[in-house]
Amino acid sequence: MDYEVSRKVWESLVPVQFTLQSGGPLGDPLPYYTMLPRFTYLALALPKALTSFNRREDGVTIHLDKVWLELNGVPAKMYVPIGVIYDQAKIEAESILEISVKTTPPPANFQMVDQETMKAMFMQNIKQADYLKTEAAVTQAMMKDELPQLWRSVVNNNFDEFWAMNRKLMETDKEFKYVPIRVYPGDDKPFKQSQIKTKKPDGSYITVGEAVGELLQPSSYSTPSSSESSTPTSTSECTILKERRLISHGIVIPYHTPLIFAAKNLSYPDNFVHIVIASN
Amino acid sequence: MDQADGAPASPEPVPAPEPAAADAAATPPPPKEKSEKKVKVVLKSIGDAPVLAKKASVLFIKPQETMATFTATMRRYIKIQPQDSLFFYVKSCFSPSLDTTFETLIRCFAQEAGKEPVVELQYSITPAWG
Repeated sequence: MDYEVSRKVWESLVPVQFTLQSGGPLGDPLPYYTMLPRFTYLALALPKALTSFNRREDGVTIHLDKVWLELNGVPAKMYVPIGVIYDQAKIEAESILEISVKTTPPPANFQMVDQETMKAMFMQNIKQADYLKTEAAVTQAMMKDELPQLWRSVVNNNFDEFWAMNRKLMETDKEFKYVPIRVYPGDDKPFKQSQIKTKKPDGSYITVGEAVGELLQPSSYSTPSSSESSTPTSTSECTILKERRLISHGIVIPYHTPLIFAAKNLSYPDNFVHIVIASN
Repeated sequence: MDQADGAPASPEPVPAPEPAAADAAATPPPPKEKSEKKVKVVLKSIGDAPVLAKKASVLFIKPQETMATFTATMRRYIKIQPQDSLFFYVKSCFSPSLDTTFETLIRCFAQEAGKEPVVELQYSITPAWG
């Protein structure tokens, strides 16, 4: 673990604005502005925004289960790390992520996630990541309270406590079998994930660029039409990634970064490396 | 090697592929586009969840479908009571996140049963395996 890198990644914040569109008699309350850690979730931030909205004197209280969130015209995902949402949002660097809190009936594809559900989702992601890395050897050997403790350190923004526990998941006896990495191809498409090893057969390290190239290659199950990357099999990693930037934590990740370095130092607390593809 | 596979008590191996007619009957969205390769999924009930007939527990799902839409469809298909929840698990270990596609499941967590890769999903109405 590279302490400096991990610490910087943990401390990275993004500006977020929550606007309530309630249509109440007094008009809408002032927006709620906040700086949020990239590793946190809208599921954790929303209650604070609502507390701010509910401070008004007109007596109308907005309840968590009566709202939904919209970002750029589509329902926001409350269970995706905010840093990943920010990097996908196609906004200028350092501008504000604008979340609309709506009181209209939620669309079918919006999923309200409260803190308890978020905790469960977080722990399931850790278990999945550990399954890829060690076939779940580490998490199965953990005591019952260890994963909830990991979650608490995320909720309480406690870097030292988090790493005291996360070390077990990262510094394993054996090398990682596969690296937990998710690539977001853009346009709100679901992430891509596959079995990506740390090393090539010749023993050299697989790079982030190579891993992303492999993830974006059409698999035998990909839909044959529409995608530009489905051109003949000669499509090399370079062609697929041509003029695309790999973004994680708002940083352009050099293609040649060893994937194992990214896994150990640039993973989000859920133990996945999340990479957003940006064109040009 | 694959300890996790053998972990749950499974008295019988994954059902052998049924003739095409039975598959079509078991698939909720009827397979119309022959060109598109679907992901073979086997469902296994755990705990108090309703049990599916053997034929009905083998499905062919579009690779781009996500766990979110699949779960919604399966609530009706498995006839989950409105007051009950529905949880899916992979490898008797973890629950895949809502945005996970079946392409991702087959690429990462396929079981090689015979010649055809298959995704086995355990389902439960209560949280299992922590």
